[in-house]
Amino acid sequence: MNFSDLFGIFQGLQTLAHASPLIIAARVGFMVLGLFLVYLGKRGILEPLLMVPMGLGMSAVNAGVLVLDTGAPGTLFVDPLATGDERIFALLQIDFLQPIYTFMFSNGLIACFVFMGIGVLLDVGYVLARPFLSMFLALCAELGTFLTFPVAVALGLNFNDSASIAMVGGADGPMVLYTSLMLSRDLFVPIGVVAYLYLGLTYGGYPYLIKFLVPPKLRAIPVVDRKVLVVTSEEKLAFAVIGCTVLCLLFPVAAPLFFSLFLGVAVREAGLHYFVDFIGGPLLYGATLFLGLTLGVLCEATTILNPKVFLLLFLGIFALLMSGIGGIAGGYIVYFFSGRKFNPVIGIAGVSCVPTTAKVAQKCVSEVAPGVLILPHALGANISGVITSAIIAAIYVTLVPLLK
Amino acid sequence: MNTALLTTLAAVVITAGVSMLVAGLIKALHFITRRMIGGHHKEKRS
Repeated sequence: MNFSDLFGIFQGLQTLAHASPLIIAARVGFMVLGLFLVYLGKRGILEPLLMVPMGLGMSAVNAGVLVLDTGAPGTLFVDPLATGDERIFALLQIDFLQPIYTFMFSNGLIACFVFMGIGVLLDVGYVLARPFLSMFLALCAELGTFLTFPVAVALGLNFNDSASIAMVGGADGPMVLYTSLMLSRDLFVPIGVVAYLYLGLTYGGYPYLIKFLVPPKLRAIPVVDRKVLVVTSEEKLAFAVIGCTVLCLLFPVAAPLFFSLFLGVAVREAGLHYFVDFIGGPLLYGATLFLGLTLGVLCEATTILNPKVFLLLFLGIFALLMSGIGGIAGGYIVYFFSGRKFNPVIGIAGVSCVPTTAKVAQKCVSEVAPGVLILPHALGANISGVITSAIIAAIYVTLVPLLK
Repeated sequence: MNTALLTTLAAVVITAGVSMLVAGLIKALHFITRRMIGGHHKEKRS
């Protein structure tokens, strides 16, 4: 026995020492980044429900690299790049998160669970009270989703990858995951990670965009409804059932997403309290935990290192920025058409990061005018944003594979 | 690049169309429930 055999006991260190300089730098970088994400989650700067499991997973998976039976370095967490039934079946018995990845993540089930939970939390009454206004603002706030697609193609990405990264403009995590799983399996890990990292930044970044684009005088405009419609739960349930059926009929490719969202809404409006408690509690939070954990452990250096990652980082921030600008532009359009009686800040809530962007809009307004309440309008635009994002996801998933 | 721009244009048009269809559906639902079920809907002045 010599010294190198003893060193082999600590396989994480051994694989680190024997890796290429790039992999060493990436593994150490991801370990540090993971710890930093946990810190940012704890401080509340990024979403803690996602960032704590994701950051810890990222650190642990990059530390825990060992030499496998095949002689190649790998982990006992998950192998997302495995192909072939026999290999995947073998991994299901070895890698402890492989069952979650194979049976819940790679088929979009986990995204659908999160969507069911979001559906249970949504009060569609805000949309039903002002459907055209809410949908218009949501449409404007998809500017980034629309613009990023041709920009990504111009920068050299193929159509499928371009559509997947463009979905970051919708600021809806499950939607980005679903689209990238459908369109770009090779890049869905980096796209998913970029999307969730940036979604956490909307809370910190959008207030600066609002303050830059909307002067305090306009931020303080109170919104007065001439008519306030009281929407009954029967009406909300009817909307969920008919809306789901129509959208599934139009876009069967995204039917699982529409179904999951509207199932949550229907369960809530039908007053099924046991289901509401289950979907809005254990299912949503369980799915969020495993989503964060799986995203974290997928950030293993050899999996995520891709020359396209830097391009994805740029396109992701571009998409979110454009969507924010588009939303505020939509708010300004309504402001001018309403005879300057509409608060343009509401427009940014069309970016469908529920309910973050609506809360951000209200917070920015409250800073300059504490008595002004825009939250009902903002939530209407916010929920409409989820619907428009799902529609765009469906369009991209259907249309883009036909392009050559 | 032209294909990408045309696809974007198509996506904008289809999304706008379907979004307005959903909004119209909501308005229609309002109308139908008000007429058929009735009694539940009130309009308030704020």
